[in-house]
Amino acid sequence: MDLNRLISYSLRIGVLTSALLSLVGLIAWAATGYAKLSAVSGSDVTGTIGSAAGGNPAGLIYLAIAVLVVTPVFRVALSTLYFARDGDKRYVLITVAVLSMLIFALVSGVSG
Amino acid sequence: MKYEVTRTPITLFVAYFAGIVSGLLGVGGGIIYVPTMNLVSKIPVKVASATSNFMIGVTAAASASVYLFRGDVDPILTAPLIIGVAGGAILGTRILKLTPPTRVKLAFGLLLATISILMILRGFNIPVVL
Repeated sequence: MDLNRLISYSLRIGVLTSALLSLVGLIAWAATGYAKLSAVSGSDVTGTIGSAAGGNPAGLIYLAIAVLVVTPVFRVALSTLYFARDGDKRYVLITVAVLSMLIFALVSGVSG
Repeated sequence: MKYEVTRTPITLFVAYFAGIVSGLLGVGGGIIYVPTMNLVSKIPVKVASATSNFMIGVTAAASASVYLFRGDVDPILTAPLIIGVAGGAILGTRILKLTPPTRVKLAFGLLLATISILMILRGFNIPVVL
């Protein structure tokens, strides 16, 4: 399959999955009788996302946000492969630089 | 579509400031990217709009992950935003394909003018409620 098309599909799938998870999260929240969701602390975000499988509303929505955040990162990684396959060294360098910055932001976010 | 990209160094310079402004004010940056690409680099407005969309996802992901892990994201506020924006973006791209570029420029200009007036009023502490 054309990698360009794959990138386009991956973006769409990422956004739609996120929207769907948000919707499920909101429905789960409504099912709890609109309980007040406590603010999730930074160190607990991964744990909260883990609780999504159990139908935890905050977990589902945090998972939706995580999918949305990761989608463009995944897209940049795919672009790097695309340019590498075409042998376009200049653009491989640019996309690798963008990817490193994104991963740096992600890692620095996790470590607080 | 055939076009030539001109004056990229100036655009790079303006994009740098757009990055600062977007980080500072929480705006996506598209409001600066689109006119810059169109007016400075002579990129057709539809291409500028599509490119801006592409860039914003990447730049926003960098800052959003930081906010997410700091626990600054309110899930109940975010979930309806995600659903609304996803639906609107899908519809918007369809409309963009069908709309003549001059109309796109006009609509963008009107939107910028409206937001500018509202923000200036807010800046002078004149209450504006939407």
